[in-house]
Amino acid sequence: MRVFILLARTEARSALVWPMLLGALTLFTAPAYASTYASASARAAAVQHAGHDASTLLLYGVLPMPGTPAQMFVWEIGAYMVFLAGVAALLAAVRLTRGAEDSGAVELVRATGASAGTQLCAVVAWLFVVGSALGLTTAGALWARRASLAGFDTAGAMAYGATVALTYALVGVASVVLAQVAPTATGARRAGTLALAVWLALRAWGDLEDHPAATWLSPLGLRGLVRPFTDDRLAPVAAWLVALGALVGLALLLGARRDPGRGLIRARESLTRRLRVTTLTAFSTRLALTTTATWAGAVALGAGLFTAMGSGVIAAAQRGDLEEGFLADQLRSVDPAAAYLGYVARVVGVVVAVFVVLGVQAAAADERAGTVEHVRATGCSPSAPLRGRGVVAAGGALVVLAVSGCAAAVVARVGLEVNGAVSIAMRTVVCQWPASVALGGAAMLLVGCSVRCAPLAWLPLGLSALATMLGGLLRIPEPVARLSVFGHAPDGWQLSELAPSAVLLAVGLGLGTLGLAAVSRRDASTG
Amino acid sequence: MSNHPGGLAVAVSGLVKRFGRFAAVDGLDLRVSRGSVHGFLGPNGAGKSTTLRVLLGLYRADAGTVRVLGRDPVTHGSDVTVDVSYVPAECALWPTLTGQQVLDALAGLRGHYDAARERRLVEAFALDPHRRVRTYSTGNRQKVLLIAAFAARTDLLVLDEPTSGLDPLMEEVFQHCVREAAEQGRTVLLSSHVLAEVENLCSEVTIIRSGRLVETGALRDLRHLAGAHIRARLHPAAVTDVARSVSHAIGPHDMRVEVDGTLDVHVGSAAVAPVLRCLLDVDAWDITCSAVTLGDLFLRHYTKDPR
Repeated sequence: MRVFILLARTEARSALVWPMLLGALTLFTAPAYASTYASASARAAAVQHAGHDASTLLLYGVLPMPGTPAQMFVWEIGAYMVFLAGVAALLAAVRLTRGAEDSGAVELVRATGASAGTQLCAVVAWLFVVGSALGLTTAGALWARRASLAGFDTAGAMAYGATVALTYALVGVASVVLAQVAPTATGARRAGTLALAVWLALRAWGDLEDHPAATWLSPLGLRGLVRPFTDDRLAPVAAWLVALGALVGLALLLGARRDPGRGLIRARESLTRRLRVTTLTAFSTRLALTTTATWAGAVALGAGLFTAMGSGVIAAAQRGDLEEGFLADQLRSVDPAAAYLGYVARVVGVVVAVFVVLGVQAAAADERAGTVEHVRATGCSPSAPLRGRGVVAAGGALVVLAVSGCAAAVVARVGLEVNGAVSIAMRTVVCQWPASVALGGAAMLLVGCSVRCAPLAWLPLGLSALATMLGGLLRIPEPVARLSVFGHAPDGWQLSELAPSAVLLAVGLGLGTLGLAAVSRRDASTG
Repeated sequence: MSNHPGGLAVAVSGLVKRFGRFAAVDGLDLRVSRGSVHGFLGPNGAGKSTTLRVLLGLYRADAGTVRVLGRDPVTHGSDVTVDVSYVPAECALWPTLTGQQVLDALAGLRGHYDAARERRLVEAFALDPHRRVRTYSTGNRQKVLLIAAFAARTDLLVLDEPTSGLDPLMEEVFQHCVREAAEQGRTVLLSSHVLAEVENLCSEVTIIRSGRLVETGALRDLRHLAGAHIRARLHPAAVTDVARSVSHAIGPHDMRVEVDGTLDVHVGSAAVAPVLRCLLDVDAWDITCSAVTLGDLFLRHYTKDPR
């Protein structure tokens, strides 16, 4: 119990972030579904279409009849929400297990007499607590919007909350199991990401081919099995609770068979390769090489998949079947094909911006860890570590975008019968780079001012992503939505169309330069 | 190694470094002669690591003047640090790199190092450089930083508690490396809590407390000024008279008489002769007179520190 209390004390603040984020997302997007369709017949037609459209089945699963606003919310926003809950659970599980072992925190706790099992039980209990908080927040937010959400009932809200909570707990505990096996914390994160991708694919395949067994095998399929606001089935919840118990048992079993800091699979720890670097940028590149390659592969795969899903959506938009809703908002253009590729590019842009912010924040992590002291003591200038991380993050973003653009272009050429698909895909994806540079520059300014300010870099990214992805649903005024950095990819290569990109690049470079000036004028942060 | 004019490798005057309202260093003076091995002592929280970070330009001084190898570490930070080897107290390294790759990176960034010396040091410190840093113990990580520091062609070595994770055998290797560096004309500023190590290696020491200078100078002179430690056995009948005479000579403090007649007294250098004469006059036996240790010097200033 005392280990759990210690965990709760140290993690309380970070545990609030995801429930607040998903709660706010529910609170602000739910009312938009009240006015999605003008009439019952339009709604029925849309539901009919969604049931047969491959792309929407892949993206969101099956939309239950009669397609009330509450059902549409769970179908569309719910799909993103359970995926986000899964990502949050994966990150938290690895951080609290292998991350804490690497930092030495587990050693300290174990030295007080706590066994490996106690430590793991505390982590699992904490994941349950955060999962429950997520479920309560989302269900509570839906309940708060019940007046504007036709089809709402308390049982449905509870079923939806339970779905989100259980998805978080399942992915979290499965990640704890993977963390017992993987050789390193990074390896555990990669294994967890792969598992998430497999679960997503299983869910999509199950919905597309009507294979319930595939949906049952994926924690991300729970939403489709429970069917909140439709059947509110409890059997899938009960079955997955049993599976959750089994996963906890497996985690404890595996945890007892390994040493702290090491997984059951041993990493190759001996290398004779030398490291030839003469500049800090080259050194930062070497440190970020594996991460960048992993991101490039994963984002390219995602971009290709998203593009492949587009044929049905584009056809539906061309027929005028998409009237309202998230996708309709994203595809509001004279050329639905270009609009869909632009939407894919914006999603890729948001993901790559996360890569850039994490890359710049690595400079703050270096300072806290103390490694900056070593490189500063070799004759490097005070700004060199931040500059190195910033340049590598921006360069890495360009690589990730270029690879993703190529993947999207190839898939668009093969799978989408659209004129100029290759050119559009490449242009819209790669031209998200200025947005990443602008956000990277803001992150550099914040890190330059103080390492404590580094987390604030998520704010412009989050607000920009919100305005771009959900601006229409949230009725955000156009001038405000235009402030988002992700909505400025050029429609062509004319000079006038490139102006916003140039402005974003200038803003990024300017903010980055200010950050470098700021870091040269402050003390290094140590410990 | 470049040549820098002047006789001081480090010249700090009136250094003040505050964190908010807390003054970690409060008007400190520190002078380190070129080619010397200088011990930098003080209790925990005395401001040693803060001072060393100011010397490297990692922290900016709030007041005072700081010159390292004749330059200001804030305005000429890179010029200073390229000639300084630094081993911080916390030895966090890049966990995915091997020990050899860390050595390569630090040498490559500095631009100059002695490869042959590095190989010798890797062997002397018995380090397996091909293992990833995440598998290293604290001592092994410390060895990586020490090898990088000694292998670099630098004029000044700033070592902050560099041997806290080393075993006695490696401690010997470390002491040999410091002596070798001194023989090559390099300056070593050594912050350490291992007083025997400082006593063995350092010709000069500076003791600080609460961010202020307490004592500084050549260790030999400090010991001489501090006097000696005298111990003798007395006839029980003479104890009272001797205690009175000695008290009269050195004051009422720093003297202890056991019930079996053993006198234990710490005297200043001027009082050594009178006290010894007094003991001889009363036929005391088993008389020993030894110079004060660095530990005695240190503890004298240590006990009252609240931080």
